[in-house]
Amino acid sequence: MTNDSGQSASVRLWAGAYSITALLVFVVLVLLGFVMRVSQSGLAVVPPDLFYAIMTLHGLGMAGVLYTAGFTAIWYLASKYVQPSMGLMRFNYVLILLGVVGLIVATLIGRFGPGWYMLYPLPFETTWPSWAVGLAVISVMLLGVAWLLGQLDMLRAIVGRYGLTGMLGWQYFGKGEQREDLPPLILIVAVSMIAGAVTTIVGAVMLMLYLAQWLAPELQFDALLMKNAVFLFGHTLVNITMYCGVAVVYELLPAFTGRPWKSNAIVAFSWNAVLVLVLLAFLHHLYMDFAQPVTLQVIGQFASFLSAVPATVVTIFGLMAQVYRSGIRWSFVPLSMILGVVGWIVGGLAAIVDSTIAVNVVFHNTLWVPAHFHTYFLVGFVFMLFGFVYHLLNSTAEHFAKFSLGTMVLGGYGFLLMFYLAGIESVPRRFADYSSIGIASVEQFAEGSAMASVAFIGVFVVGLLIFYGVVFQSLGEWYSGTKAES
Amino acid sequence: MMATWYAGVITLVGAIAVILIAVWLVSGSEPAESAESVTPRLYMARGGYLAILLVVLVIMLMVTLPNLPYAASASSAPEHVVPVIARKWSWSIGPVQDRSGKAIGDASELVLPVGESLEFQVSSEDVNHGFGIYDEGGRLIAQTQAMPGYVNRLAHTFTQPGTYHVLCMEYCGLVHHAMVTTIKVE
Repeated sequence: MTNDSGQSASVRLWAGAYSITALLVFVVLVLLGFVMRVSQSGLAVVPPDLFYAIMTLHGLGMAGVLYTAGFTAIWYLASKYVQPSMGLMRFNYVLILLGVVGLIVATLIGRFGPGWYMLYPLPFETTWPSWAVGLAVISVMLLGVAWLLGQLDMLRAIVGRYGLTGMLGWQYFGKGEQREDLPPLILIVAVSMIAGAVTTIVGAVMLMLYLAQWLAPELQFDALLMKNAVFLFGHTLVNITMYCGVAVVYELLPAFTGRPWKSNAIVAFSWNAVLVLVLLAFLHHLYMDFAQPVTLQVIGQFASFLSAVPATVVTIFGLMAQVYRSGIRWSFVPLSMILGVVGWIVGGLAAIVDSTIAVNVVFHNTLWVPAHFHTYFLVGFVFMLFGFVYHLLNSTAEHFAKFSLGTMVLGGYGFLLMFYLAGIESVPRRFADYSSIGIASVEQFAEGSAMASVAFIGVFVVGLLIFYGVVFQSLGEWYSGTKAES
Repeated sequence: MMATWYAGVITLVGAIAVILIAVWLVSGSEPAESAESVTPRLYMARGGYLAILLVVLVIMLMVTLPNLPYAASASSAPEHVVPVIARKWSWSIGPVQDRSGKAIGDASELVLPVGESLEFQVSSEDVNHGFGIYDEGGRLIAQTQAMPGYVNRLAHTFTQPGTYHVLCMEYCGLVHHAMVTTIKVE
């Protein structure tokens, strides 16, 4: 038995292997986040070298595992319409696993700890051993290669069926011509993969320069250029991860509402606009670099503001048209999709607030920043992903699944509230502990809010484990059924 | 500084609105009607939402873009210049210079003038740091990055005398969290 008929058994098996691996890595990374908040609360201070190594692994790991899981979801769902390479998916699994193991060794053993963004030239100003730098750079390159190959292969598969302009829905702008329906999933995936491939190439060039400097330490590169490059790569990767989740919503929800969700000129125009805006929004990461040309700063604010318009307008109202008076039965999957979209919109709103230059002056690198991206990831994308995994593995323990979702909502939003309040109270981010800053009010608020968030993470993890119980319970039957088909 | 609280209230109100709409949507799925009967109403609402969103965003752009913090976009020259050098993991601030570049004041103790326009010229000797000024109430009131190879010019006028804290606002390695100093403003 399966929920889907368009995918072969081997596609289902590989999507399952990726998804289960992602779930296992995810919970470990959540626990690393828990350790960080414990240290920041002052309950049990983690030594700074370990704290920053954990911070680096948590950031790189979460960005990597969530992107990979999101890609897996759209790879699986798109396989109904196009034929991405199965061999590449297998090859990439090994490549990604090697990258992950390399990063774990470099950070937890080598204590490589420059943060996920490895802001140039910090990785080379070593307080960690040189081998850890090389291993980390090579590991991220392995991940980048796997992601880039996956993006290019997905584009190849889509272009093969829908054509270069067809995959972007340009046929909807013409009049009266014969055209094949473009599933919104394919449109969003095409936009995401183009943006992903372009910016991953930028990331790859940057990593090659890092590798060159590791081999020849006398080399020196421009710090501002490198910072632009890393955020173009990193910001876009996170953004398209979110879009992968949104694409899953477009594809899965109609099965529950019984209403088709189709592309049209407005949907196509909106996602084409996203393709332009998503490549410019990263500039808001450099607002506090006053040497950056002011024109680029203003473009950053325009792009960040406008990026809120097209994707949300068509998605929110598309979602409403799906659900409103549809008679839908609110099972786990559609509930997790709705909650995921809520998290995405709320996190996006907090992001727009912070992408206002005049506001960013007092929010930049405070805890407001992790507040907003944890919102659209933890209670946004992750819920969409969990809905997908539940659907993929034919899970049926509805009551437990819904209870786990409610628990994660409670723990997740409580955890986020502490970040937001701390951001409002000017608490800086990326601090191993707050006992040295010498401002009593900030220190007290930082530690108190971290302590509360430790409790909320505990609640979230309870929900998470119940959800894992639900999907792992259905795993055996799903595996034997799918294996028998293959 | 109320700006952060305004931002918090805007986000909270927006979040509550989004959640209420989601609750309305979930509870409004019954009784079932055909998609054709509900979509025209929703598309009208979509047009309204788009128009309101665009108006709000344009107003926000018009209100906020004139308030850029960049000294490069300021029309008048500062009364004093304050060089700031960041290095792992300490700050060198001062001496205060007048418009001609001549050092003024007591070289052994940095005291910044209240009520006079300053320009911090911020750079770094090694990695990226962040120059963040906190007032006595623990509010972050101004910041810029300290980047090797660049000088970031931060314009600021202190309106209150007191002892201000400088924290590093960009992660810079193992002692980042303790890269702290104070400046006196009189």
